[in-house]
Amino acid sequence: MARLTDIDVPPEVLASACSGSERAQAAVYAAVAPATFGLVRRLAGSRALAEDLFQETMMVVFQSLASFRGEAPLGAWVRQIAVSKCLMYLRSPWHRARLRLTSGSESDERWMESLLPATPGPRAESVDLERALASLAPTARAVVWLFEVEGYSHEEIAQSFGRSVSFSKSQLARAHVKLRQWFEPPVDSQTCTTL
Amino acid sequence: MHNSIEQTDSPAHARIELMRSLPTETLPPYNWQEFQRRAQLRAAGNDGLNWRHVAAAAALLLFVCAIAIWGRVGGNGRHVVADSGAVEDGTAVWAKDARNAEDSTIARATDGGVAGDFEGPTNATVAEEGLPRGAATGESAITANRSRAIESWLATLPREPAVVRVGTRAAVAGLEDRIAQVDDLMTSVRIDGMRPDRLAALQRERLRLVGSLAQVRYAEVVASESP
Repeated sequence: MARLTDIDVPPEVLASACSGSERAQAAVYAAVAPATFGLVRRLAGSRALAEDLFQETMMVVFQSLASFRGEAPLGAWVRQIAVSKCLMYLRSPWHRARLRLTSGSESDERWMESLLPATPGPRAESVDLERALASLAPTARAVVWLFEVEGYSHEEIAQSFGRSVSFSKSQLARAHVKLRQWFEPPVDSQTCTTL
Repeated sequence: MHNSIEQTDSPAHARIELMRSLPTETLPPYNWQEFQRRAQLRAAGNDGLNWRHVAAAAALLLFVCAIAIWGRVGGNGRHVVADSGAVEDGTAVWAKDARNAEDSTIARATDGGVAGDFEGPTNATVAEEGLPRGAATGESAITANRSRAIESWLATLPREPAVVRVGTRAAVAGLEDRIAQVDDLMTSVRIDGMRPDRLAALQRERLRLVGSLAQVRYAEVVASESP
């Protein structure tokens, strides 16, 4: 599976897409859409929101395609837009208000599990990890994903969130503590067998 | 990739490795054609703000606000809602006048020294004579004018919007029924004996109901015109 940052399209296809060729634009969409949606749904958490943010991201991509200078792969540029859109949403007061009303729903968790591949990999661990990630707060999940998987530095995360480096570090540390608690529950907890 | 703070911890390291091995690509929710259709819809939604409709809605809102303010504040600057006080004032004036009239009648009778044979006016007549007619009729005229103005505005609205909402319709029907009841009561009061204070109260109640009806109808019209 290709990472978004590794995805690139030939310059002639890009040039055609910029000049308005619908076939070329469709090719660009086909190239970047799966990885973009994969990233957005990781950061957004809920399917409806992920679709919305994905649509916005792709609209910005095609509106600003002419400004893409080609210094990095197209996927890296698209990732920047997608992350910016997602974090902008996570920072918005609308999102905070929504969080107060609806905490992570069961349907969203089921949806995240349904996105896992059917055959390859240790599926049980992956499902557990997906559940653990879904149990994190959206901000913490975004920080842990950007740092551990996307390779962002604390400075870059802090800049994207408009917060300090300490914010990024503390969010990451808390997220790891929660993940550890998820996978390694406290030993002294009473179980049925000890009663 | 960074060296995470937890990479010294082997379970945490394994978790991070597992996280990195999670699928990065997901089947997008829709294909290129659907994306284009949605993009066009959004663009149309952003550009399609019809300023004429916005201006018309703003004008209508201002008009209704003006009617509402006019309905609340009397022409002479008095506050009609707090007018229960004003009504009481009027009654008090009327009662005072009535008392004065009665006193003067008694005084006249006493002066004449024929108190027992005096065929003075009854209390009702005294009350009628002592009534501040000018004030009552002036106020009722203002109330009636306001009511007429709102009703003429209501008459300009379409009878029923294209989309009928049950809740709004029920509210409109309820208000219209109550206005009809108040009309009946006013007719009975007029026929029975012309109690001006009762009539004025009914007129105020009618004005309040007509004002509420105007607000509901306005909201209904705005809702039906919005996309």
